[in-house]
Amino acid sequence: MSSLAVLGRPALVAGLVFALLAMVLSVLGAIRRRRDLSEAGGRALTAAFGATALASLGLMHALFVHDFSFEYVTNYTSRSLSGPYTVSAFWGGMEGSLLFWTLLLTGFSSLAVHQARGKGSRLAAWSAAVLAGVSVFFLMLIVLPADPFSRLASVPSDGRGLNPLLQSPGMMIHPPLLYTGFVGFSIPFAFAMAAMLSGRLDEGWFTFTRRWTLFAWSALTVGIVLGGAWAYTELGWGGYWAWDPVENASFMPWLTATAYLHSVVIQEKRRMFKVWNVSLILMTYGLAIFGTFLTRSGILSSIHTFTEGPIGKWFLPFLALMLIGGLAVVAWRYDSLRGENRFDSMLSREFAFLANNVLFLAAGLAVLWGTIYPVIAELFTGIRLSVGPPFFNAVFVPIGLALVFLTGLGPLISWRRMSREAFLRVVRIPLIAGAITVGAFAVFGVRNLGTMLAFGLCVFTAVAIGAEFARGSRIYRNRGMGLVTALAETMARNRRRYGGYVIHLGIVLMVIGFAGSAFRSESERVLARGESLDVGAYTLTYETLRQEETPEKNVFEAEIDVTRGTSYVTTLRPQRNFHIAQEQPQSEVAIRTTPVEDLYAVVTSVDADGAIGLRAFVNPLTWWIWAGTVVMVLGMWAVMTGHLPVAVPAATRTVPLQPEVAEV
Amino acid sequence: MKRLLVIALTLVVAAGPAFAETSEDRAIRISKEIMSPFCPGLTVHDCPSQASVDLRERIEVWAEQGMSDEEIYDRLEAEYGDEIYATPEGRSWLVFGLPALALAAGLVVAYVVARRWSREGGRPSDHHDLESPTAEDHKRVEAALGQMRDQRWGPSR
Repeated sequence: MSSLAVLGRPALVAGLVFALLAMVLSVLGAIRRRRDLSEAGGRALTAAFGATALASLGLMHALFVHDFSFEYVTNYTSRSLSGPYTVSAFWGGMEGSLLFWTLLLTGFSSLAVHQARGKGSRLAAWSAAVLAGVSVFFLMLIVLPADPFSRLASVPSDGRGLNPLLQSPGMMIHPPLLYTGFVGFSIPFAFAMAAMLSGRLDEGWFTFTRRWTLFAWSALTVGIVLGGAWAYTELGWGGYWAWDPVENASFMPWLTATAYLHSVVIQEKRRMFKVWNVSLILMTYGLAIFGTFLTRSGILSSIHTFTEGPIGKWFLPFLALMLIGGLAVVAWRYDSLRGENRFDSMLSREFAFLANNVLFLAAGLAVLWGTIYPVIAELFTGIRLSVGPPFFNAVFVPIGLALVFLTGLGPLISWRRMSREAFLRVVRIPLIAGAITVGAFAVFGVRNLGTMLAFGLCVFTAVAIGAEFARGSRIYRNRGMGLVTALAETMARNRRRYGGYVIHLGIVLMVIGFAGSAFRSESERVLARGESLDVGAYTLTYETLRQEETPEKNVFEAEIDVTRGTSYVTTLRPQRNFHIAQEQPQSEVAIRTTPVEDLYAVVTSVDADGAIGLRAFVNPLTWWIWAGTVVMVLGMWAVMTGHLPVAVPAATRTVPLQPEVAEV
Repeated sequence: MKRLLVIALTLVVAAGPAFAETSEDRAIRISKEIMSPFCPGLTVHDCPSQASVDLRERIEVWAEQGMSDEEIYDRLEAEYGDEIYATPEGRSWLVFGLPALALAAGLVVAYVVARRWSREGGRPSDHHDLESPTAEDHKRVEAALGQMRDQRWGPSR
């Protein structure tokens, strides 16, 4: 019996009251310009966080002491579930994941409002009001329709256990990171709305939330990649991204957020695009809420299940209120949001950013459309249709390639205008390098235009980034520094700019990995002992089957000897396991990873006579996706720890240093 | 550079003719074009369930028996309905059309807005720097900056 969990529900009710109080006090404080009221509102928001944290501790405690009188504990854990996965059961089900959302939301909100206290009290008060309003909605959800603390009349002796697919290290980190990303966008969203409401329309709101935005975007990025890594190592179909609606739900806000990260630079540098930036952050947060709704309401399995589901009918009105309210305040302040500068030329950094935004937005819209089309079609025609990977790939490959091209091109173009000669001078070398790559692929017999372009554009962009580093570090090299020291010095002087380039480089490496999938080969067969399967240049021979029984599962481990020509390569040991509690089989993939290619083997079935169904893939260059992610994380760290104004030591302040920078 | 591009393009076209597809390749291609009736949101190719493994095997057998793509799709549609297609049959213009239209409209709007902004609105930028700095300018600035930093922070930094 968990005494702590008994406090859970009262704590959530108290949290709801505190959040309501925070909202009312903050609004009053903002309207009447009463600092004491705003500060009380901030404290009430912190109290809402405290209450939510207490409830979360209660749920965690109930999970760990196996208190099966709680329906949630019964549904998502069992006595045999290991400790770490008991933690992930916290966000493994709908009610718990919404509690987790609320915990992050109230926590981030309290922290941001606390940080903003000195920054102009009305901006802080209005953002506290918006954040408290969102908290009220989520607390209402978990107090009313999605209560994580609902009790069972008769207490079972054991729980149903966690879905075996979720029992993997990736699933420990992936959902919290996605939620951190989703919830993190609450802060820039709230401050953008607060800027509209308070009339403080200068750069204050986005410079203050810059780190929060980067933090949310970074968490979302890494979360999405980890989701792909989880799919790759757990699901056993040889790929990492299936364009399924749950993946799309996390990808849509990422696309608009990435557009925002770029276009906000134009506002910072040129005081333009103000309406656009507010709209982008509104869209991003709307899509984050929509993504949570998509994955939690059951609308995707059928339009008819979502009204039956407990939370579907709560989400749509909230989303509508948020979007309509957001658009209304933007319209109200429209006149004050006019740009203060004008476009000088199409051949300018500004226009490159604008094109970047159009592409990201079109990509986001395409993903949204493909994801909800089946629902809309069913609504109007009553017939269920599917929109699957062929659609998403057809739309996404050209847009993605154009974006890779802009990634290389954008930083080469100067702000405001550039002469054609100067432009040709900077693009010449990257362009030649890209063209040589395309030619080389053609010579080696590659026919797929998209693939050739992908590699060509990756080389173009990588060379362009290299050239930027070369230009930036020239001054230090001229002063006799070694290459590495000079690069480090360049990086240290302007982390935001060069950190951004490092992120771009990571993206390029990832795209190389994606493009490699065009050369994938695969094969699938039922094998008796001693038989073999050919895939790519490899021969996989099924040697033996080892069987082991544990309290949780029956393990069947196949031993597969891999040879290439006549030489032995490795032995792979994929497993097919039967989970007893869930009565379902699950495959554990065996992968041999190298930078050149992955050899991927999965057992799809085990027959009574010891024959196995073996599916094998050769996935070229997949390693680069994970390597690119690591590079991106380094870049994110550099950008996030970089300072907002270009850091110039006090002694040199008098010198106007205004380099043309693409800062993020 | 233009010549390089021409050579590259010629090579692309010359390398053109499609290679012969084995029945296994065909089965894989088809399995990527149909949604699995057994896993929501995944294609038959991507679905890990046993039923999907069996369906992939059946498709391969059909391909080996010499059934055309069309015949295989018809067979699948007869068994599982319209929902099996990963892109809706018949209405694909609507599915593909909207994103394409949105992209085209977005680019046009961006261009028009940029054009309008470059003629009116806002504060005109000062027009001192019609030309980007030349390499010579860069050198001079760098030399000056280098000198300045050396003086202020000492050469050993």
